[in-house]
Amino acid sequence: MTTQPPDLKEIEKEAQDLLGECDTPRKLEEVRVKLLGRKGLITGVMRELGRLPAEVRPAVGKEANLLRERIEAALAEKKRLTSEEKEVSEPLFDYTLPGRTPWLGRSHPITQTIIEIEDIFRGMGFEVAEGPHIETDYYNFDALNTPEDHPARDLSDTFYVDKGILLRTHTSPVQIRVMEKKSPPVRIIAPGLCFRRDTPDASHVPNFFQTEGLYVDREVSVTDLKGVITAFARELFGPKIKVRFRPHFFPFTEPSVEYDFSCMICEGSGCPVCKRTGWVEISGAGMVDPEVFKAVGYDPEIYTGYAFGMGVDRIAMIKYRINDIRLLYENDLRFLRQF
Amino acid sequence: MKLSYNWLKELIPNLSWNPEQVAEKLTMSGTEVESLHPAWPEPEGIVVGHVKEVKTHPEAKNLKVCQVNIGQKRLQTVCGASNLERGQRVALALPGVKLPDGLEMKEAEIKGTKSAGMICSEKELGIGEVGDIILVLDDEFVAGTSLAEALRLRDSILELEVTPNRPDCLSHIGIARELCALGGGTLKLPETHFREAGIETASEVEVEIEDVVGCPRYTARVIKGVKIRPSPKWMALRLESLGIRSISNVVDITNWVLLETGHPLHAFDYDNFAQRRVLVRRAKPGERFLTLDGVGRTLSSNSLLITDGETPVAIAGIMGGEKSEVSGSTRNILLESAYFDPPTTRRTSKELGLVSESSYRFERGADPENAVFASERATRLIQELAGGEVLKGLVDCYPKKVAFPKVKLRPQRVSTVVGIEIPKEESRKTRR
Ligand SMILES: [Zn+2]
Repeated sequence: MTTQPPDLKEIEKEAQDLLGECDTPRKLEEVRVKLLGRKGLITGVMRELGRLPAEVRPAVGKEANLLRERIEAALAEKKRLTSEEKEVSEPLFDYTLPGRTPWLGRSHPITQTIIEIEDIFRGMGFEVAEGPHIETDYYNFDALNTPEDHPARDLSDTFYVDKGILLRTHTSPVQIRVMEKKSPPVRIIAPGLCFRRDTPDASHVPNFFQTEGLYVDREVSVTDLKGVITAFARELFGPKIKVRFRPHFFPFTEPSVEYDFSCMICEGSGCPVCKRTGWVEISGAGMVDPEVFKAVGYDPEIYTGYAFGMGVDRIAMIKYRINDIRLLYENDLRFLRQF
Repeated sequence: MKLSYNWLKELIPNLSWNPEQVAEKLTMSGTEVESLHPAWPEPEGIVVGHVKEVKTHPEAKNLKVCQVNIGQKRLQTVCGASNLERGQRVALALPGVKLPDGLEMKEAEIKGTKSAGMICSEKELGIGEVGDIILVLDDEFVAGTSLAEALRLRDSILELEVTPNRPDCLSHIGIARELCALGGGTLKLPETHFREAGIETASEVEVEIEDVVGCPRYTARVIKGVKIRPSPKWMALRLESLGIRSISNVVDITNWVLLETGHPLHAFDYDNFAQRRVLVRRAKPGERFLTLDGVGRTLSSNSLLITDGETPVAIAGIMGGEKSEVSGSTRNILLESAYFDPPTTRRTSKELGLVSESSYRFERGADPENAVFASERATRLIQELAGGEVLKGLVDCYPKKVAFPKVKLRPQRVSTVVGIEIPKEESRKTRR
C-alpha cells in the first residue's frame, strides 16, 4: 500500500493563509486547532507519514517536521503579538497598588494670601502695581509729606543703603510712582516686601509683606474707603466679620484711620489673640493728603482719593491661625507643607 | 505716655466716665490706650495707726513693744524698726491681711510678748524702695483710715500712644480737654494763685535771646528763700506711678507741672548765675557741657544753650547742667518757662542722642502761649510746698509773637471728602 506524499508546500501555504487571518487570541486558538489539533492539518500529515513508502519516508518526514516547527513558531509569534500573549510576556505589574506620588511644590502661605487679596481687589476693579524694594528718601518719605524734620520719621526705623537710598519701609512709594506716570482715575493695589529695623519677635520681623491700595478719582470719599475695606473683609473672612475704623495719624493721609477686623477666633468676645479686645488691628488708611497730590502734580481741588495699607502677614496669620510671624519666614518644610 | 485717672478726675470734677470708659473714648477718638492698670497694689486691711506708746521689749533690746491706736481699738504690736517713735502715724497691716509680697499677717507671740499685725515699710507695702525703716505718714492722717484712701493709692494708670500730630495731648490737661470735647464734662484748670513780694523780678534778672528762631520766648521768675525737702507723699507717689522718680519738692514740681500742662519747665539754683542774667545763645563748635545726668557732652553750633551770660547752665529744652542743678542747699530759684522751636530741639536731641520728657515735647511742638500759665502754676506749687518769696512780676522776653496759622474749613469740602452731608449745626457743635 502506497500513498502519494503530501504536498507540503500546498499545506504550508494554506497554514500561512489561516495564520494571516487571526488577529485575536480566540481566532488564533481556532487556527491552532485547525493546524495542530487532533484532526488538524499538520497532525494529519504526521499521521500519514507511516503509510509512505520506506524510501521517501525519511525525507518527507524531515520536511514535515520542519514544517511543523515553522508552523509552531509562527503560531507562537502570532500569540505573542495578540494582546493576551503580550501581557503575560511583560514583567508582572499590579495595577491596584497605590501610586508613588511625585513631590509637588506649593505656594507659600504668604503667596497664597497675596493671590487671594489680588483676586478680591481685581474683582473690584483694581490693577496690581509694583515698585522697587530699594527706594530713595524722596519716594519713601518726602513725596509722602514726611520731610526730614518731621517727627513721623521716628515711626519707622529705616535701613539705609547709602545716603538718601534705603530699603522701603512701606509699600506707599508705589503710590507715588504710579501717580507720576498716570492721570486719574487710578485704582491699584501693590503687594510687596517692606523692611524695618525691628528685632524679631512673635509679631515683628525686619522684613514683612504689605499691600498698598490707592483709588484716586473725582469725589472719592471716606465712605468709599469704608465700603471697599468692608467688602474685602467679608470676601476674605465671611459675612459675619465686622470692621472698625479708629481715627489715627499718618503724614500722607488726612483724615487717617487705623482699621480693625473683629476677631475671627473668638468672634468678638475676647481671647488671647485679640488681647481680649475682640478686635484685631489690620493696618492704616485714610484720604490722600493734598500735599501728596501736589508732589505728583494732581490738582487736589479736582481729585480726592483714598489709600490703605494691609499687613499681608497679619492677614495670613489670622486666616491660617498662625501665632508667631517668624514661622512665615523660617521656611521650615514641616511648617510650609501644612498649607 | 502715662496718665493718672484720678488726676483727670481732678481736672474734670464732673467726669462721669470710669477708667474703662475713658480708655474706650480716647481710643475711638484717635489716642489709643495701650494699657490700663492699677497704679499700686491695694491690699485691704492696711490702716493708718497712731503710735501711742513705745516700750523696749523685755526679752530683746532691739525690739519695741508698741500700742497702736487704729480708731475704734488699740493693738499691741512688736516692731524692730530703728526709726519708730511715739506719736508717729504709721501704716499697720492688720492680722489676716496679705501683703503684696505674699506675707500673711498673723497674731503671734514674739519672745513671750503678744503681737498683732505689723508696722510696714514702703517696700513691704509695694509703694517704694525703702525697706529697712518703717513708713512714717503725715500727722494729719486720722487713725483707722485705710491707707489706700489716705495716700490716694486707688488710681488707674492709662498708657497712651499719642500720635505725632497731637503734641497738645501730651499732658493731663491736654487729655482732659480732649475728654471734655468728647462730652465727658467741663474742664477746671488747677489753681495758679500766689503772693508776690519784695523787689521786681526785672531788677533781679535780665533776659536776652540771641537766637530768636531757636528760642522765640523765654520767661523767668525768681523765688527766694525756698526750703528744699522731700515732696509730700501724695505728690511723690503720683509721680512715681507715672514713671518719674521723686527727687525733691522743687524738682518734683517742675515735673508735676510738665505732666499737668505739657509745658516743660526748668528750675535753676539761681546762686550759680554769676552774672545775674540769662543769655540764650548757640553753642560754640566743640563747647563742652556737663549735663545733670553726669555726662560730659561736646556740642556743635546747632545746639542752643541757656547761659548766665557766659557759662552754660542748660542745653535749651533738653537737659540742665549738673552745676546749676537744684540741690538740698539751694535757697534761691530761677524758674524758666520758655518756648523752643521744634527743629532746633530735634536736631540737638538727635545729635547728642539725648531724649528727655522736655525734649520730647519741644520737638513735637509746645505751645508758646502756655509758658506763662505753666510758670504761674509751678510758682504756686513752689510757694505752697517749699515756701519762699516770689519776686514781683514775670520777666517775659518774647520779641516776636509766634504766629498761629488760621485754618479754613469749607463745609462743601468736608462733605466731598467724608462722603456724607454734615449739617451746619452739628458741625458747629463738634468744633466747639
Ligand atoms: Zn479674640
